Amino acid sequence: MLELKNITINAGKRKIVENLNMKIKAGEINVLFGPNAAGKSSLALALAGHPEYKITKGKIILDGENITKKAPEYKSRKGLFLLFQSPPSVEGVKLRDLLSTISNEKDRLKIFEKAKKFLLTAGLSEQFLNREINKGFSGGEKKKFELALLFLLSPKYVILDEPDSGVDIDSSKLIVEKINELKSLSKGVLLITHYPAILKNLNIDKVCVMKNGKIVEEGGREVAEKIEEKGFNGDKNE
Amino acid sequence: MVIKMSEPKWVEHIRERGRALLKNGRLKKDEYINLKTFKSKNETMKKIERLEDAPKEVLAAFERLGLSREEQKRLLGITVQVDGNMLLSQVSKILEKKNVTIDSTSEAVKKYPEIKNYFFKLVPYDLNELTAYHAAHWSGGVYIHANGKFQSPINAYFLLLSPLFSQLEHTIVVLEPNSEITVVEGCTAPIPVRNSIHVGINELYVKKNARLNLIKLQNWPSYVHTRPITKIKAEKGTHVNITNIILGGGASTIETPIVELGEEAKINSETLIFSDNNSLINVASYVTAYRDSSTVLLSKTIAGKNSKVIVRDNITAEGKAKGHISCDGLLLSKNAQITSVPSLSSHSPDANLSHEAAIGKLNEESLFYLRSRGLSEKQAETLLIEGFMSPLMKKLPILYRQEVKKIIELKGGM
Repeated sequence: MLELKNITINAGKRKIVENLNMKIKAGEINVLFGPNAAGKSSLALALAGHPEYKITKGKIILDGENITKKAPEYKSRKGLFLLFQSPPSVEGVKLRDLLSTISNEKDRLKIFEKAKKFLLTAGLSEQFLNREINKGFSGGEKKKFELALLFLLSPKYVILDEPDSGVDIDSSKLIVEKINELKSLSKGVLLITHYPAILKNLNIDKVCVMKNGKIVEEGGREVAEKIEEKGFNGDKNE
Repeated sequence: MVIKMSEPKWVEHIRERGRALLKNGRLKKDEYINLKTFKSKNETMKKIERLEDAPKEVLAAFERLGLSREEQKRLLGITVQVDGNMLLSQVSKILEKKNVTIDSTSEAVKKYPEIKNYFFKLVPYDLNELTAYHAAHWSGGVYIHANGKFQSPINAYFLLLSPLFSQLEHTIVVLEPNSEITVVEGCTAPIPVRNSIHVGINELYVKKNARLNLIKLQNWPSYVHTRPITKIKAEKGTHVNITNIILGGGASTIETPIVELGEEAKINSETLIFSDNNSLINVASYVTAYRDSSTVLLSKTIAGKNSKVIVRDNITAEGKAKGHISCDGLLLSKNAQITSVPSLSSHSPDANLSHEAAIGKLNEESLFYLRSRGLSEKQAETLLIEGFMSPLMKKLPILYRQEVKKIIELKGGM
């Protein structure tokens, strides 16, 4: 289980998230809902260990281990994966280079083959293994590339930060399929979104609503349905 | 019996002129180098036939240029100068058949009278105190004369093994019309060598429609000053590609490639500078470009620790020429400094000249992205540095690409 206990997050002096509690169990899809600027992406980046978003209070417990202060690579190796909302382009670095660095020579060819397979199932061509990461990728390609990487690294817990933002209908469909697949693979999923439409075809377990850095409502699918109908402020003008 | 030929009169005359200029003391001095402290001659080394037979310290120094023993064996043309002496000149018969001559310049001045037309003709010996000193005391260097096309690289290596030594090699490369060759020049010294200088003078003549690929690889330790001067005369319709790799750098490195680019000629010059410790690297490239010529000067600088790098590039258009300068700098430490000074000057309204420059540190977002995929901070930095260099590395032959990577990793800057 990935447990967030009383988490408070600061960016510089500004408090962005306050006293947040959440439990993400294996095989469950937890949805974190909220309007723009609610602190959702800051939470995602802080959990992954981004140096600009500091966890000033509280703990992240991953399968019983306190990983709050650990380096991003440690969290990743322990099985935490952040799917970036807008992943940066990495000049001159290809997926091939990244994989060569994290694998030993013996397994290299195998991991390349695996990467090609996941690129294909994410709706990309094998060529993406040899392209500079995210450089010149379209919005949809970036998301698919993140998904391919996710399945390749096969983490235990996944934070999906707006996985469907800026993509076309076909890509959106594929992303929904992939998220359901994560559930069937017993991954614990935290899905961050501000747009309820994606939830329709997802097999979700819990929904939390975040506003101004705090959880203001918790429940099941009905919470999402209410927001879809009435918006975050209780009317439709969101 | 070996007959030792003496130097021809015209060489003696140049040496005399150099000495006279030094004595008169009016030439511009170098702020870091006091010439009185150096010797320029040492005991003659016994020449060897194959590189495998070289003394241990030579082979060890060679490793700093990255070439493995196996790779060394495969080279068809190779010369090795240690301090002031030519240790090895191993030239395959194939080169002769292709009309390519390679010899030590010290020998060549005695054997080939035409060299007089090229020696100290592009670089004047009264340029400054160092050129006069070079004229008076020069020793070695390589003379390459090509009258045909030859694909494999011709390799000239210069090693400095003695402290307080001034290595004054004089290299002359002549490509007759329509010829094509690749020259790899490697310079290094083992780390303990202190207070020596390398003042190489390279004069390159690329005649009508000829093509020259020049790869320069320099890996100097922290206590060696270097002042190589390269001057190229590229005639009409020629293509010149220069890949200049400066790794680490000694106490101070000042490079000045100067090119006279003829009509319809093309030059592509790419420089990679990796500096660390307290080194000061000063690279200046000047191109005078004539009608319908095309110039691209590209540099990538990575500065770590307390090092300082200054990159000056200039294109002067004397006619309807095209030219572009691009300088990228990457700072790895708070104490490092990169200065980029691109300049353009045009004497023709039809010339098309441009430049761009950018200096920054490693991109924090990219660094975090890679770390969040399981790479350690060090691994992520290394990948990003390699990524920064990659456009230039792609131009290097695979063999050297691997070696440059290895050397940079060894330097611990990554």
